[in-house]
Amino acid sequence: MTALLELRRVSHAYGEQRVLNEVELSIGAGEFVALIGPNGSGKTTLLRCLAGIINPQSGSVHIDGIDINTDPFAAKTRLGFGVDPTLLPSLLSGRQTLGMFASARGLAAVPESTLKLAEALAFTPWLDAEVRSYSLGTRQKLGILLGLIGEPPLLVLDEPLNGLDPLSAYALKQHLVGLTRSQGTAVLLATHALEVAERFITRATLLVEGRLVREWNTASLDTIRHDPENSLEQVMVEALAAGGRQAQT
Amino acid sequence: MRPSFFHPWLTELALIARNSVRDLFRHWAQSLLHGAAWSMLGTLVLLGLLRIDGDRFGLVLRLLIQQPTVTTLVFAAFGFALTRAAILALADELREGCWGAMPVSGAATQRTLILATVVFAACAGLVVAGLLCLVALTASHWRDWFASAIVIMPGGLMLGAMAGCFAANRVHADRRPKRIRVGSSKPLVSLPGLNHPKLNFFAEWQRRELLRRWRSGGRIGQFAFLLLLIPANDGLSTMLGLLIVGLSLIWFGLALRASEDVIVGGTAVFAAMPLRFERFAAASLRYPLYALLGTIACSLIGLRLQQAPLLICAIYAVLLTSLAGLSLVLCWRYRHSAWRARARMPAETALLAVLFQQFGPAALALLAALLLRHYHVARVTR
Repeated sequence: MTALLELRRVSHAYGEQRVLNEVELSIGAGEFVALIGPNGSGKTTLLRCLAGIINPQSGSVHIDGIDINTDPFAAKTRLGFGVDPTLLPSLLSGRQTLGMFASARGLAAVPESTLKLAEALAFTPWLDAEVRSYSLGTRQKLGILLGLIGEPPLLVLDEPLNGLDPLSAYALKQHLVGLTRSQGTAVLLATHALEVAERFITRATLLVEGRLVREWNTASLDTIRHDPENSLEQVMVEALAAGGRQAQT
Repeated sequence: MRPSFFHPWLTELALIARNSVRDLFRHWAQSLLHGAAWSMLGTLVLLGLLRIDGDRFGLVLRLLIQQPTVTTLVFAAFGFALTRAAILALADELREGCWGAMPVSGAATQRTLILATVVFAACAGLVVAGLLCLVALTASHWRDWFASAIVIMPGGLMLGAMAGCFAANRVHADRRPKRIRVGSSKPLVSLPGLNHPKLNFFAEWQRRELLRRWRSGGRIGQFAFLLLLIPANDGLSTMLGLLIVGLSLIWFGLALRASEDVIVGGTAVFAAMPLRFERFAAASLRYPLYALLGTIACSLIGLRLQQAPLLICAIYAVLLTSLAGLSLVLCWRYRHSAWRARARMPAETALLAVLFQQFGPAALALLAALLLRHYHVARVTR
């Protein structure tokens, strides 16, 4: 079976600062993966590389078997990427922005599933207001809705839970889990909010100084969940400390 | 804790300057190379400027100082607009930026803003004085205008700068929260046919950006300048014609700039979307094209009111279309780094002017080739 996302030895640097170092990652259909790591570990750069926003200096990114460098259009039709809230068109309304993104994906109108998610996120009252009147959390919701529009098979979200109220965060997680189970959607979520991601993810991977240093599969995550003396947060903090030491040596 | 006399932002500036100097020494070979390159470029520019017939500029300057009140007012308005915007931006940065929550007294902030204005105004005055000296160096009849110009122009600029600082301080002192006037960019008339069916609402975004800028007084300085240009002793139709042509050009300049800024913003927003460049270009062309057609129609009416012959009208339309086309394709090509388009536009306009002077209408073929080349590069750029 072809992996929905496959990164092969992806490296990138800003000037002399090496941010990603031969990163290898593969995500299959129906997987819900959390990408964790300290600030400045390269998470956002990695996500921007796999979305084709920046070209990695070496290595390749394949989405559903398609090299994003060779055929970015076909690769991006299979990818949904949450939009940075600071980039949203402030003068358009939420509905207009959704309409614009729907037509960019070749859809005749905003899909019903997106409007349903908007309702679940309590975004509906904001649909006809201009984006510039939105709070950070409301902008975040719109950015997520834009990423999920058309429900492509691979969803990539960068810190989507930032600024969301608990009800909306829960609704979003339920929706994402529903997509992974019903449609086999693969989700990659960069997050710091381990306690909120813990119950939903099927795999977690730790990025430290541009390297994926550790991974927890479903079985090891289940073991941690069932150990009352332990928590995912605790395990990951220990791994972060060990990862940092490893990266320094 | 004793409050500081000036805002710590000045310390931040000093530290940045110190780091920059340290970097210059750290990368000494590169600094040396850059220094040599800039010196060579500066020498070339200076040599070129010294070959200019300064008396031509001197004539214009003489005409300007013959109307000292108007000239002083124009320079003061320029200084006012520049300083007000710069000081307001700085005041906002000090209030809402990383220093916003720090214990800095209002008086220290006020003193820093005044100091920044004095430095800004002095620099602007020195630049104008320097340019005047340069023209005087290349002119033989410089005594006719230099003494008055060196007082009126930098003086007007600095007066305006001081007034701008005063106005900015008043706005800054008003601590009421900024009101967002929702719907202030809403068009009066909807144009549903304007939106591209395959990228709905993109033209609407461009149009709203223009409306927001226009309604918040964008290009008001150009409009004031246009009013100063209108001769008082000409016929009503001539005055009206000039007003229509000038106003439509100012509006189109703003429409093109707003559309291009939205293209740059849209490029970032759609970065991860499966959107082919051709479709993006087609959707982003609609509004500027509509604005261009409207401007040409208005300008032709204005030109005819001034009894301009049809040939002049045709040349005007072709020139405007060419420049707008060049600006737009450059924006598409450099949609990831807009400053490159802004830098290339005057250079390529100058090149086209030379080509038109040399080859006449045949230069249109070269223009078309240039536009196609930029479009092709834009298409293959990711």
